[in-house]
Amino acid sequence: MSRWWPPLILAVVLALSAALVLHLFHRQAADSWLAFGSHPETLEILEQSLEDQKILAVVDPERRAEYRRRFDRVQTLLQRLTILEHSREQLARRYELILLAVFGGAMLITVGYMVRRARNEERRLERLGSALGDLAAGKTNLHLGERSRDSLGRIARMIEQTSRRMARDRRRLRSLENLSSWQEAARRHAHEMKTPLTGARLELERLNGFLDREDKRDEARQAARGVIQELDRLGSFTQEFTSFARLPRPSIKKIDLDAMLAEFVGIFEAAWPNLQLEHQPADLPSITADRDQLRQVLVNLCDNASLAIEGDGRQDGKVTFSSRLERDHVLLNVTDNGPGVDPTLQERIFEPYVTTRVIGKGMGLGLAICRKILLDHGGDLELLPEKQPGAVFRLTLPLRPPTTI
Amino acid sequence: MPARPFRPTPLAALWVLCFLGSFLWSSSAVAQPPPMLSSGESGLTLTSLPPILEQADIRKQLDTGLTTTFLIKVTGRDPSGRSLQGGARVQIRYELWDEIYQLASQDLAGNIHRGNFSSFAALKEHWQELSLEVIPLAAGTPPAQQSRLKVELDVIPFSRSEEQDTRRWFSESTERSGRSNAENARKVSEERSETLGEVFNLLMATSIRRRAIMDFHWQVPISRNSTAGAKKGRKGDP
Repeated sequence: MSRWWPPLILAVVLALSAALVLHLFHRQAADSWLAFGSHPETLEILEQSLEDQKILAVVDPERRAEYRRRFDRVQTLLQRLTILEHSREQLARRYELILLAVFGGAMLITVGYMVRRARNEERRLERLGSALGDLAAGKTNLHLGERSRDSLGRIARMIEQTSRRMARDRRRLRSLENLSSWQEAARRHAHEMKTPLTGARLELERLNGFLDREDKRDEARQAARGVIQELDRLGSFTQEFTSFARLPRPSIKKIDLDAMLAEFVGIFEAAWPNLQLEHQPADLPSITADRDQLRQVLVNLCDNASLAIEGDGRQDGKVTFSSRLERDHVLLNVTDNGPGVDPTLQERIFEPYVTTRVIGKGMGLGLAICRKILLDHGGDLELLPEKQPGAVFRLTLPLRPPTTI
Repeated sequence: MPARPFRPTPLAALWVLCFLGSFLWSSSAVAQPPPMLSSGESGLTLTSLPPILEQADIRKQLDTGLTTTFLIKVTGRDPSGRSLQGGARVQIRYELWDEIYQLASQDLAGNIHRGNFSSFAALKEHWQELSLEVIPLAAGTPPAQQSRLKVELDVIPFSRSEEQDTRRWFSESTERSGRSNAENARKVSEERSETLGEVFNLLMATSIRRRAIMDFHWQVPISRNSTAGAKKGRKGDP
């Protein structure tokens, strides 16, 4: 509102100045107008006319009635002017009052209109500011309802157009990303299936050559085991794919997180030769979670950390579990000292089939499964951006079970 | 013993102020002797009106031919503390053609008196002999003797009918001039300006009002007068 005060004050000052000038000069104008009617010369001539009519009536008695009528008319006029002269001050005062009332009314209407307009524009500016904030926050398809053709209206329409364009671009991008994900998935599926099938086929061909030969029985058994291994590999791929597609519902129970983490560190301390697990206990209330699924998430995160550190050729890997209470949930940070996550992948790290590993070394479903598990718990899994090198995954675990699973 | 220096006390200052105030308030009455109030059986009668007609302003006003009204108002309290109010009205008009003064008076008792006077001297004489029953008393009410009543006299320069006539004439005159000014304007704006003009004329015309051009006031003692009312109804010159 503050920027509207200067022009408003200026308008009021101008209006008051105009009122003052009018007040100073209108009295003079009113006096002149009244003085014109009751000018002494006018009154003198009228009085003389009265005398003349009386003289004429004496001189010309035959037309006495006519002179009397004229006399009466002049007398009436003279008396009216005399009454006006008596009321001169009152007339001038009334005239002044009417002018001031008209001017004051006009001024009040003007000021009221300006204040209303200023408030309206202020509200519109606030709406525009809010819309720009929404736009900056990534909201799309904004509708401001501005129909005016002034500059604020044009800005509002530009914001709406921008938000619509952003929505369209976002849809297009998502479509392209989905397409890209599916292409990658198809490529990985094809490879994951083709590799064991090819291996199995080669083993079967070799086995076929050994069928009629007694001396090659051992080689035949070996080839048969090879076929079984390749089929197992295909089966495990199918299992991983199925576990993502048909993730079981979590069996929620109260869990002492500190005790569970201590137990996890004890059991899995030798599971990854290049990793050292560390638990920082905290005094926390019980959480509600499926113990097995939560363990699956932790195993997956440690597995990823181990592989990343192994890729760096290091053996001094370390994963730390630290937790704290925040309102109605517990935040569990899983921190490793690995190379961290590629910044270009950070936004998409939880999407299926997104991985840095070469084909044949993983489908890129692990983190997607982990996140799905935590979402099913009413919590979440995030990658915190602050730690580099290394990675921090934050698990949000609710104290109470979710209303719907 | 040394003389004590004079120190005005607040009470003394108040007395001085009251004296000065009453002196200034009654200054207009100093110029004119007060009328007489006498109590009779039927009520209080005002007589011996002061010779204010001789005053130059009033004489000039009478000669305009307008109806000059003399409004008399009497207020006070009787010995029992009861409020008393009364009054009378005298109208004088100089007929310019016939050169006669026409007088009409009416008091609260309902007495109406009319008279025509061919000279100012006769009018003046009659004025001073007027007897107006300003406060008629109900039967059995004791006369309010040994008290003073306030008598006010306002001189109003024209009558109500003359006021109405001038208002009408003023409105019509300004409307005519407004109409001629608006001849070249568009029809719609003309109608609008006429409506606004009528409102303006009405507001201006209603400011023409009867207001006293002079006023007199006295504190008049009540006297017992057996002849009160004897002069009532005396007629002026034909």
